[in-house]
Amino acid sequence: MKKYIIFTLLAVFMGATVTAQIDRTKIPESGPMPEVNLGEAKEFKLKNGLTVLVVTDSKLPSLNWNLNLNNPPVYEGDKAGVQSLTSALMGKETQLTSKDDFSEKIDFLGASMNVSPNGGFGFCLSKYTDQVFSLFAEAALQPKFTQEELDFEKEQLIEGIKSGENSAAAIAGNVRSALLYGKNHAAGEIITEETVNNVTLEDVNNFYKERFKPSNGYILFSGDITEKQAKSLLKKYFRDWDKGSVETPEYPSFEDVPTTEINFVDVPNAVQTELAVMSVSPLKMSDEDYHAALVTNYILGGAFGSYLNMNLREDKGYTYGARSSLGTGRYYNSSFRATTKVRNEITDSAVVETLKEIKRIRTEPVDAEILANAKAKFLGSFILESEDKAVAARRALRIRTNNLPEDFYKNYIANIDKVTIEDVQRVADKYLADDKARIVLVGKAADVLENVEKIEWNGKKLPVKYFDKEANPTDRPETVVLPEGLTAETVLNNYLTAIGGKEAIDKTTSLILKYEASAMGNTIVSEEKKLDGKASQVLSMGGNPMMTVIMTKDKATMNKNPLPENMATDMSVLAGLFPELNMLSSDKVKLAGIEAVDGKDAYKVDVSGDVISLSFYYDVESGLKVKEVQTTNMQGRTQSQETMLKDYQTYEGLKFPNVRAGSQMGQVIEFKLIEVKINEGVSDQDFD
Amino acid sequence: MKKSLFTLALFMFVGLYSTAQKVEFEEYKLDNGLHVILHQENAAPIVTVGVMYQVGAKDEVEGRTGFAHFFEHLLFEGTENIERGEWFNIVSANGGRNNANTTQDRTYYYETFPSNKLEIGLWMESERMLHPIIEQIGVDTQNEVVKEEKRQRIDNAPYGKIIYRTGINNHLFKKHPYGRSVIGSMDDLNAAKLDEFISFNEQFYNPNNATLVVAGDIDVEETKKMIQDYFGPIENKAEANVRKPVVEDPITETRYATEYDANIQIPAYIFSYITPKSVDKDAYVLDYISSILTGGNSSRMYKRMVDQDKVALQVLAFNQASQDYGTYTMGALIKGEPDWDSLKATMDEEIKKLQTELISEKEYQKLKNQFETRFVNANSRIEGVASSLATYQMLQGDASRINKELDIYNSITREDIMAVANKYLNPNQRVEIKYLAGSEPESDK
Repeated sequence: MKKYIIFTLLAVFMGATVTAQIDRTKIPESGPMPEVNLGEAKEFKLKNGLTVLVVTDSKLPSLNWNLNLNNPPVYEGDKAGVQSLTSALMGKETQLTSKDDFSEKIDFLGASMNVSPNGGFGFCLSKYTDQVFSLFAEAALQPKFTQEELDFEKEQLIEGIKSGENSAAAIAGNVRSALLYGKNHAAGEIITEETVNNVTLEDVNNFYKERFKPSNGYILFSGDITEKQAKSLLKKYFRDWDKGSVETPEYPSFEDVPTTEINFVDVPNAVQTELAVMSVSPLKMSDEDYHAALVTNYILGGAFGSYLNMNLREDKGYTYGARSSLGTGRYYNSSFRATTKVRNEITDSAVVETLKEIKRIRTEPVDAEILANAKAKFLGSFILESEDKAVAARRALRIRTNNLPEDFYKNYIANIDKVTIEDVQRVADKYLADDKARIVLVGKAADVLENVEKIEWNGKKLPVKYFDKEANPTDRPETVVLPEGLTAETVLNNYLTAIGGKEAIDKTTSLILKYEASAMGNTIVSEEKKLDGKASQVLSMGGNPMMTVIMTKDKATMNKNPLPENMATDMSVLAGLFPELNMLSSDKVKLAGIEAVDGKDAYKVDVSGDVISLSFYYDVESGLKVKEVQTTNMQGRTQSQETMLKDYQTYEGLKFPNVRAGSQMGQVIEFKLIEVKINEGVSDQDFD
Repeated sequence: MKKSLFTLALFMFVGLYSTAQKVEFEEYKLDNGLHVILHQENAAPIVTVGVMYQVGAKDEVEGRTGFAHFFEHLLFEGTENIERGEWFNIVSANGGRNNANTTQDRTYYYETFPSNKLEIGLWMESERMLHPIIEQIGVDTQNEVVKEEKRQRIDNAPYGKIIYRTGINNHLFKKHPYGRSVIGSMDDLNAAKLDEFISFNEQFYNPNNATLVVAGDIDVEETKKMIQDYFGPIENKAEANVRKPVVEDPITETRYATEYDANIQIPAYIFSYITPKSVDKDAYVLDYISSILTGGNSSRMYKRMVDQDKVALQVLAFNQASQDYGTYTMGALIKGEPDWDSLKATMDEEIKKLQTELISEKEYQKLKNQFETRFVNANSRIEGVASSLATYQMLQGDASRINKELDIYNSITREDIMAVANKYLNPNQRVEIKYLAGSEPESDK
């Protein structure tokens, strides 16, 4: 002891006087790899077929056990909820002990336990092992189901369902699986108030009887208990449990969507979008690809430093975290999921970035250093896991339930080590999808949907389908919140008032508006002439007319050539002194929402058409028109022309924009108003 | 009869406490003031290196809420020898894991590695203490990340304002900074300038203001030498953080508040009280009281409100003791149409019972059993031991309290429970919060 103190003093003294010989610029060398000592799980079988695994570790005076009946997942159908109700009822009261006494006994011992139709677990100090295990066995083998408690648990469950109705995360949890597996699948069905109400006491009794069977099951003990003690406990308390097992049902098949699509669920209160890119994973733990798949998913989204998180969190700051998982199935296929929660405004960009990273790992060889680091992480985790002695029992269980070779975990690190750069790309290409992915977005439509609908991937716009909170197809949700009672008519009338009012407009019989712009060294002049029900526009360059468009109520021509009838019909709304006067009596006009134009809110009014559709934007505050968008849709091609209207000025009591700015051939061209003539210089001959 | 026999059998165990694991450790100070705690435990080949800094949300100046937590994020951005963005890669490339967290009182960073990587852990934490790089690019990125963290944890999470107390503490503390939220306001964070972060680092992130804890599979002497090498030369840029005590006036008249949560459907009724600081024995008594009221299905409030009266979907009670004050919060998620008055009457009755009647011997024994189990569990993982040692040392002034906790709990008498209930849990000492579904009405804003 003395020596020890001197050494300590010396160390402190030395530290104060000697400059340390360390090189800070490099990561320090690691010491030799430590040995991992995991206890072996002792294994034996009961007569009824239940397999017992025991790992003894007496460091702490406590133990836990885990009963896993290894039941195949069940489809509950119109009684969805029977499983969770049976679980809730089990462990409450038994044939021998009343509800109050039972919970009192468990709490008194400071123990915790849970039993369900598929197994259960228990935890207690080892000095209470016998009492607590006996209570566990009592709850498991002699449960009592009463109508009163069932009614109570149904109420609780329904309240619980209601409590998640506004939670984007809870909704996402339901709809992701429902959309991927299908609602007719054990893994995809959704528990609703209706299905819970269908469950009867008889259903619960039967559910328990049909599923609480030992022959395919396992019980794992770990902690302060020996194999011998476990044996005698089981002999004492599980003696009367007869053999039996649950048959594996047929599961409906499900597959990926043929091309990537977006499934959107509107949650109006959401402040973040729950984002998931999903596809079907046929991976099994027993597959040759398993280790490579683990490494691949780790690199894509299994850790902080993964492709997804480094891009979405560290580079873009879209999210607090982005991850992915690649599931393995036993009874049916599992799923690949890249998930994150992102702020509303960048939902569309986050989708694209997620797809990019999935595509990247499928198409680009992974950096050798990234792969080496990933392998090191698996090794490290394998070592860190050894702190929990129960891990030996869990590994033994996984080997058995997944039909793995006995030496699966002995060779685990060696197999991880074998994964090559080519393996990662090959496995990524095989198990991950950006081209047939289902993208499930749960978020606030009003904030995110319009941009989501514009997402393009691999050169194509992604189709968007809409679903409700229970994954049923539904209509496109409204994306704008307009003041109550506001109509297109109000917006148009406000506009007409803003430009001069009814009296000034009524006095107007004709208009000439001349705009001038310079582009590519030339002066361009646009001259508009308008009468009631008629309008024309002549574009001239350097004094020469280039294009003449004439519109009347029933026809339209360009350079004297008649335009197709459906186009002429679409354009008739523009034929007149003010298009808004025509719009007031048109049934193709719709108030579409509020959008920001140059940072100011404007009401958007759409005029739908076969070939030409128009969107006019009216400033919420001033009522004036601030933007026009003309969309032409011909032979499958869509083209949009945007014009911004600025600097309104009054001419003889009427306001016109002094500037009309639009882009032409990739260039912004500003037309300036140079001449306004009201009630002079226009005749019917101008529109022949 | 069967029942009483059972009870009797259990009483035999009184006094037969299995000696819960004693946590052995050693502590000393480096010349620069860094407090070092070493805990050797060779059962598994793993090691945790943690550094706790005596700076938390309560040290933030007016108008800069969220600063301490934000700064925690910034300190992962890189150091002079660890490139920006590499921190997490180095940890995982060496098979480790890491994280950090910020409370009102302190900020804690840690790495857990296979034990042959101890030196890497020491190097990383000493790099962070010696010369972190604090740049605008990191501020900008982490600003976005923290906003998302806030949305995810609080704004988008059901009952987020209860869980993270942002809708409770604001009503309790009017003077003490505990009334502000740890995650803070985004406006404040947006307003913070780069040089403020740099001076925050110089003011608080010094060896004299920190505790280094190394726990796990270590060789004590080698570890000490490495600690001296990596941390010994780090100089202090400021005095250790000395906090002026802020005294919160006790609540003497019931406060009433309403909070809204758009993520929920089921309203809750919450009572919250100001209670003593963590080092105070009364804080431990309040843990007992929480357990009496809501610990397990046989607890008083659960049985009464969930089971019998069926007026609550779930009940909650928790005691959270911090360095300067604690808070005690109890409440219920309401089943059906809320009858606020009757809920209040029920909860008050349960408190009144604690104030006027001693708990039964059996209930008392149950508490002891529950806390013994909890205590055995508490120190089963190296990562947890490391954080507890640093916390006890820094916030309660004595690392050895890690081994005294159970003694403190065991010293609590039934009379203590009654006295504490009388001292802190009266209706005029609390805020009553109606926690409602939906958004706050415009006119209230």
